[in-house]
Amino acid sequence: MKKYIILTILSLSLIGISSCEKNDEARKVVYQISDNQSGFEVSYRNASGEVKKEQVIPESKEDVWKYTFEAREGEIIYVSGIYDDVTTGIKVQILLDGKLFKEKSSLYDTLNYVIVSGTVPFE
Amino acid sequence: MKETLITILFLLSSFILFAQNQVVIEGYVLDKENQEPIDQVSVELAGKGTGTLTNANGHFKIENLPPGVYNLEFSHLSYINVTRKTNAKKAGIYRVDVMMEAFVSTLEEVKIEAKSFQQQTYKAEKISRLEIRESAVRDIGDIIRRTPNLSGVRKGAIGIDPVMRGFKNKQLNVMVNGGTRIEGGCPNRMDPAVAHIEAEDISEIEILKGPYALRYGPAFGGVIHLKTVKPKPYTRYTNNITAIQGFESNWNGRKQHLSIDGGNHMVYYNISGNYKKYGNYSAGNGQEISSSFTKYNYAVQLGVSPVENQQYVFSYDRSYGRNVNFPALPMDERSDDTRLLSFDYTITKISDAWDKMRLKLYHSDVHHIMDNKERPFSDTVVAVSDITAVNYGGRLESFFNIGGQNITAGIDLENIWKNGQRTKNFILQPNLPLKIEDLWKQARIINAGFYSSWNQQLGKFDLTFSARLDFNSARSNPLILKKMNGDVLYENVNTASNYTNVSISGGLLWDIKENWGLGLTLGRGVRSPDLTERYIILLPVGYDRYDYLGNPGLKPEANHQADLKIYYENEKTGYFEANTFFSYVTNYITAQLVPESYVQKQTQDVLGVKEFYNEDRVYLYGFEFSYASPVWGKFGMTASGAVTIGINPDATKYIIESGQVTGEEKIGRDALPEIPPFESNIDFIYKIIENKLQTKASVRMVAAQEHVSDAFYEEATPGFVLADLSVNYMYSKNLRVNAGVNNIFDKAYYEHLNRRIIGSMQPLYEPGRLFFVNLILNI
Repeated sequence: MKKYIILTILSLSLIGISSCEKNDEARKVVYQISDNQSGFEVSYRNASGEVKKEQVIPESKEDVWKYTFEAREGEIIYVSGIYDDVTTGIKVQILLDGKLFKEKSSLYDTLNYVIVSGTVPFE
Repeated sequence: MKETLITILFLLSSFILFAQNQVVIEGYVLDKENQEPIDQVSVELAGKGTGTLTNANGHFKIENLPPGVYNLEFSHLSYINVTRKTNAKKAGIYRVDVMMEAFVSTLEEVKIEAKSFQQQTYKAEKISRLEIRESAVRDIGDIIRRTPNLSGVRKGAIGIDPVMRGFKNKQLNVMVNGGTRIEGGCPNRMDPAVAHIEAEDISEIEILKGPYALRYGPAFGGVIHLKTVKPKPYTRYTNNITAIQGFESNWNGRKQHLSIDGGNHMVYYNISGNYKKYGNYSAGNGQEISSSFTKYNYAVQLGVSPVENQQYVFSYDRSYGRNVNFPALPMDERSDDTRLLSFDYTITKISDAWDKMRLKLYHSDVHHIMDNKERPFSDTVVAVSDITAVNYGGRLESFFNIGGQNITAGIDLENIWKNGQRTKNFILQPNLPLKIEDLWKQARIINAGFYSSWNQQLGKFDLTFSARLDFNSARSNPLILKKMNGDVLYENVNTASNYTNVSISGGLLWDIKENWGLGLTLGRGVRSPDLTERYIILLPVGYDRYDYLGNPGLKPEANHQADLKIYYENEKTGYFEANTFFSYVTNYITAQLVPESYVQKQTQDVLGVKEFYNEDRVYLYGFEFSYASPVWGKFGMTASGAVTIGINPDATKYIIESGQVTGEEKIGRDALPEIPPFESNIDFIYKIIENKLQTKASVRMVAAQEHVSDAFYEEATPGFVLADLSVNYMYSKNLRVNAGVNNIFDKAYYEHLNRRIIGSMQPLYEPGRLFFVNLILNI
């Protein structure tokens, strides 16, 4: 009888092994643009995978533009900022689960755009 | 009384069989420790495809055999396999009694047994289940390459691609359970066939070197036969459970295995599952190697024997790979979902002459997804390849015994189909459309084969002859590669090709004296080009930095080989075997540079495009030796060594200056690339407590490889010496512990066949020192 109990337990654990595939976990992604006061055009890949464009006019240099969504591991993430006034600058960041993942900035540069992109890394 | 009855029956049956001029082999199998009979021991006649099981008294009997020399293989889940040779040259009854030892004993003893009585006329080897389970093993390719003259191309965490005597890829016939074949999905072979079977499910790996074993399909360089644990009938209802829990430091890896097998004489089963999760490891120089992976699988097999001489076995295996890192390739394996289905039917003792018939049907499919999402370029271009590879077919074969001649005849069919896309997402330019490339154009190969083999014992000679006829047909959709604007970069609409190949082999085994034997084998094995060689479109799938282009007009390549083997066996001095071979390959498939005007390269940083073509001839030669001592008191040892030399007598080298091909030079005699150097292994065993505790020390010496290909700009690699130590402790018959340390001195080393880290000349280092422990439970 004891043997059959063990057999049942082990069979159940075998089923456990076969079904222990970890689902891709959703990660909280934040696109963040700051350090600009002259205005910029932001392009970003949204939660549906579409590329959206927005014109942003900040009220001050301290204003921060943010877009938050959830993405699965391996998903493409992309955000760019193009500003008109090359005498100013811009900082573009991607945060994953509240931590800085990627960052690029431009200040008084003849290139008036910054692109940050990549994929959500696998744990 | 019972014994008297057995004796009477014994005498009666012997009388009948003497009259029929037949051989009967019978005997008892007992536990070495307590002399108790062992029930359900499988007794098989090696190479004959027949056998039986012991009963509750440990008795077995195999009847109706023609006179000859037989190798009996005894195997049981809880005991070490034993092989016994019986020289039954005349009709009569031959008694073979065997003592089997519970699993704690050395795997070297298994090796001694296995190597002592090999019946093949050429070099053959076996890797036992015990050897696999009691090692720090993650991958079948990893265990295979520990044997001299077997090696493996390593590109990542797992998926080591076997190389045997310099032959690789489809030059080797890799199959599962007597015929199931698996086609990997990745064009760069990150998932060769061996990567789709879990090491813990293996009962034995059979390695047959040379183009001689024609029964299993087109054989060119050799056969790697992966035999998984199969369900078997029991005389009374039984259940056995095996659970393994393993841990490895350095990789921070853990593995679990669970299998349950049992049933009765009519219905029996085997269910198993595995889970492995490993991280990155540190090399001996402290460098962290990207090597993490997750793998898991489950397998269910059901056997039914409605009558004694018939068996039906249904098998289903589902395996998964997730996030497997390949630092030497431009992509990692994101997911791999593989499914194996097979059905086996066997009928035995059909008539006096017709011993057995076997039918096998199988289907395997691999869904393989790779991407570069964890590579530096992934913030510019994300590329994802999604490939499906299907292989299905079957075989029908019959075994006959006519007047002492063993004859096998059969037909087999293999159908390979592959399709898939690579999608490129230019994420810095999100308005650009996705670039979608068709990688395999629905390519297909169908191979139908007919084979026959004959074997007979004539005095001191054991003669074998085999022949095989293959009809090979392949096609794909037109090979067209377009730019994103629609311009055609390359086009080839002539994709169909058909071949008829004839392969033959013959050999003799000569018992010169009681202790001496000699084997001589000659063979010609022919194989048709594979899907990559025929249809790949501009992908860097080779050893060097070129895009490769398939060639549907390739001719089949043929290996003409001779093997000479000599062995000596003595109870006091042990077993020694030496083998040498020479292989002359015609229409050798390799690749040559084509001008830019013909087709332009498509991959960044490659030097140009190479198209597959047939080189007139190359040759390979080498030798192997092995020695297994008897058990001297508490001590035993084994030693082995091997080397292969490959020569291309008419090689061309492309001159490269500043990253450009600027010319070519005929360099004549050049080494073939990716051939491992000389290596030797020595294992020492010491039994500290008989049947309880033993230790093993292993030393592996690998020479520097300086015989490298100039034409392929292959780099020489330094030699190294490694030392491992392990301990086996048998707490009880149900519980064993195996622990050890590999690479004791934390050497920084890499194998010659390890590829370089992508985009660099940095070698892919092997793990530094690691500790492992395996807990094995049998109920």
